[in-house]
Amino acid sequence: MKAALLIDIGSTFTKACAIDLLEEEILATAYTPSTTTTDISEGIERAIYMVNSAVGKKIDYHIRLASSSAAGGLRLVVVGLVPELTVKAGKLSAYGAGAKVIASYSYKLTKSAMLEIEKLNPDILLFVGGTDGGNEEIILWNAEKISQLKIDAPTIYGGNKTVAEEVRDILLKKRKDIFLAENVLSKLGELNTSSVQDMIRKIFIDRIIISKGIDKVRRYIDEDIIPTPLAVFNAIKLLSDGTEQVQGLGEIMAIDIGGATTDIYSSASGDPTIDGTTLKDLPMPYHMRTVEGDLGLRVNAISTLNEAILNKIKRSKKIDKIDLIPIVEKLSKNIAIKPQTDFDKIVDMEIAGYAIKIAITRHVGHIKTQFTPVGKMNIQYGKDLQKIKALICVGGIFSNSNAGNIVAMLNESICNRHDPFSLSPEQPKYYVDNHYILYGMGQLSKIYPDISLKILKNTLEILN
Amino acid sequence: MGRRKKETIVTGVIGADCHIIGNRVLQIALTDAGYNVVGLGILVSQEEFILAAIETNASAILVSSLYGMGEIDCQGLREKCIESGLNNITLYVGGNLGLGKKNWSDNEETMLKHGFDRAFPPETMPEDVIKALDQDLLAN
Repeated sequence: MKAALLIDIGSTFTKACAIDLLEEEILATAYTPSTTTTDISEGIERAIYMVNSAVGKKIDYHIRLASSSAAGGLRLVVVGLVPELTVKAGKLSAYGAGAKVIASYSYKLTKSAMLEIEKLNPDILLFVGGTDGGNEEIILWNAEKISQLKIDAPTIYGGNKTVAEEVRDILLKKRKDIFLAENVLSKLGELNTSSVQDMIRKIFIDRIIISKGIDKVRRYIDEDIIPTPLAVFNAIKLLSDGTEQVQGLGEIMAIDIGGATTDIYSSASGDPTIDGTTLKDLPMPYHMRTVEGDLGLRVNAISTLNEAILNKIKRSKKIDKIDLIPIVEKLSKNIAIKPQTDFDKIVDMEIAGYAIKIAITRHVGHIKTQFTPVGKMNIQYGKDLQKIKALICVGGIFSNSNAGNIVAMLNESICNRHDPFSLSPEQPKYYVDNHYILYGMGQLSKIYPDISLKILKNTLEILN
Repeated sequence: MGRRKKETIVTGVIGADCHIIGNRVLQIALTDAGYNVVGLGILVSQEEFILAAIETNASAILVSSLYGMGEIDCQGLREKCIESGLNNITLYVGGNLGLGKKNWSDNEETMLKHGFDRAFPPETMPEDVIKALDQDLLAN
């Protein structure tokens, strides 16, 4: 047997999965509570032991890989210039590298913004702003301010290249770690995320996993550890693009809903599908990820409910007379709580519906209608994802619930056309990652893309 | 021409106007004349012009309008520029700028009152705009 071992260390659970590379199938999967607060190795060893026991023998793994979202994941702050331009370009770049943007700042950094950044103490500071040859004044101002910050996080500079060396010198003078990347927006309308993303990945591997104590995992694996969201993102890209040997699913979207965040992925051009439409705004990446740090089923259950009330999202009939606030407050304090009764499950499903609806609305583009002397014109901001054929669903809520309830919730929160100007999917097929294999196939996709894709296509369950 | 460095110019067609051809011709001519041109296309709002000018450190914003509503669309642009920190940016407007006014000089006067540095009538040749820009930007 030629087998692969795939490990994921999350904040709550450490998962492991064994794959038979010759038969191209899953041998076993297991998950156990993470031991990040004591010794991370304990959880990993337990997960490996559980997988080996499930297979029934000790396996000599051909390759062992891992991803991690433990210790808060990859926490990043963006400092940029104009919110709609370089700040947005910086955020999109960071999301695509598997990071969580915990705050972003535009224009000149103020004293209170600096105090806030120091309090947040991010893992990486992404510093952008100015097209090439563009604004220098605010960039150099911000460089001075960043050099004065009392934080140890390295800075990646991906702004106006004309002042890149000056920025580096300002930070080096104050003994700050600075890495220069290509400009995320060298020209308006030309988004360049890859250089900054490569830098984020490198810093994650070389420094962050060490500072978070995750480097102990190196003993158990053969390649570099990557952030979990990046592993999931790699799986989505593979599933969409396919390989030379195995056909992909084409343009797709994915939802990954957890306790603290809701991630939305799209692999699609997002070109207009409505006649007479002109595109505005930053061009969006084909493979795009957004993270909603205020939407989740546990830690952020309250902010999800508040956001739903603010957006006037209609309650489902099953619980429209019940006061959800005390229930949700309890959930946000007991983050490891699992739904026990049918009522618990209904509440979880309701909150999930809100989170998904809001997160999808923020990810997809929208249309603004303009009446002109030559007739009605549509202006499209962001991606048109109406014709997406497949939506991949990841998260405990999907694997532990009845298929009929999931389909009803998704239909209501995604396809129901409450907002005629939103460009969300109209009639996608829902695929559920019941076996938690997306992270694993994302890890494996760099080495065995064909095998990963075949397993993904065979394992994801279609609900509708 | 005597310009000290490659200056950036932001341009586009303002408001609900889709007439891009004249603006495109101008963009080509400006690029050939050595300017770094940021073209925002059609249906451009005042805010879009301003944000693009901030990010690219533009020296001038050139607004095109053909459909007759240009005067209304341009009102308040100078004030918003000042509010956004673009205190000294050069503002030009050109095209068919207002319905109902017979004389170009009336139109021009109105646009200068709105804070534009220059206004250009229909059928202006690109070289006239370039000449004016060279002169004004050097003076700044």
